[in-house]
Amino acid sequence: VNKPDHELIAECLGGQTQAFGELVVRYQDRLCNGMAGVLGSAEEGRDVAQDAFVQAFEKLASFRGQSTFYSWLFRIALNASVTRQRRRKRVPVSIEAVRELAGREPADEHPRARPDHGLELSERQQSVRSALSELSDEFRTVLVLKEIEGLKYEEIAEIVDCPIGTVRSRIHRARLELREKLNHLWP
Amino acid sequence: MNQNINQELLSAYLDGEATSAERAQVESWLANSPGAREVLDDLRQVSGMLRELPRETAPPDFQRRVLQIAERKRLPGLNPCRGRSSPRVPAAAGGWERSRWRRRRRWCW
Repeated sequence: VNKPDHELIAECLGGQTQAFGELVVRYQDRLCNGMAGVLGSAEEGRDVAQDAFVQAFEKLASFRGQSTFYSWLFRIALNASVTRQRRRKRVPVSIEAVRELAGREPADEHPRARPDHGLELSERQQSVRSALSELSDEFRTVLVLKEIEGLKYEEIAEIVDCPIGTVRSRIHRARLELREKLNHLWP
Repeated sequence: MNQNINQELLSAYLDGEATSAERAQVESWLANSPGAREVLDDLRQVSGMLRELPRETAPPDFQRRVLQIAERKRLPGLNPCRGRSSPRVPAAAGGWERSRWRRRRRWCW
């Protein structure tokens, strides 16, 4: 039986590091995937996710349970990614990085939502990754949280620390901008 | 009247985040405006393209590496410079316990 997050957190604070290990296993794929979307690189996504888990371990006593553990963790990861980007001026995503991200099996397909065009799936995915990487950090982050993480507006607002109305507006504008960038995929 | 509807409502409608009053407003707009239907369809397709992106996963040794680094930080004897905010040094710790920890940190500087 899977223990709820708060029990694992209490056990970890009591000195059982393995309890934190269970939290890592529970969220590692999700966080690596989310951060890969935010950073436009699978490798950087994994590095930032690792940093975030270690920081979460160190700061665990400060987690108040006002949000979900994952929201809290994602926020740590976002801050870590900002620090990382400041250190290394962000560069546009290389085609290799895009291919690296595009070369895996999709886990969530919505066939009815696909436009009917002649491009192969992987080519379209490369285009989408590339267009996503060109959005501003603010737009890309909310879109990843909505479409890739599947979070509600309220949770997104908590993570990015802004009002729900701002989240709603950013998501809409980000989609419109992405639509423009992907114009070549429309019939 | 419908011209004045905020387009952002279309995304909120698509995401199931519109209130019931907003939903009714959008549905009436969609019924009367081919342009609005086209925008909604575009938004839906963009959303679908993002959701079909391949999912990244953590490498097999991810958990082991995280715990290894975390443990190293938790055991200040191994690396005192890196143990400053470990759960073993709780914010609530006071008096001798805290000052001893502070002294230990000074060794690093």
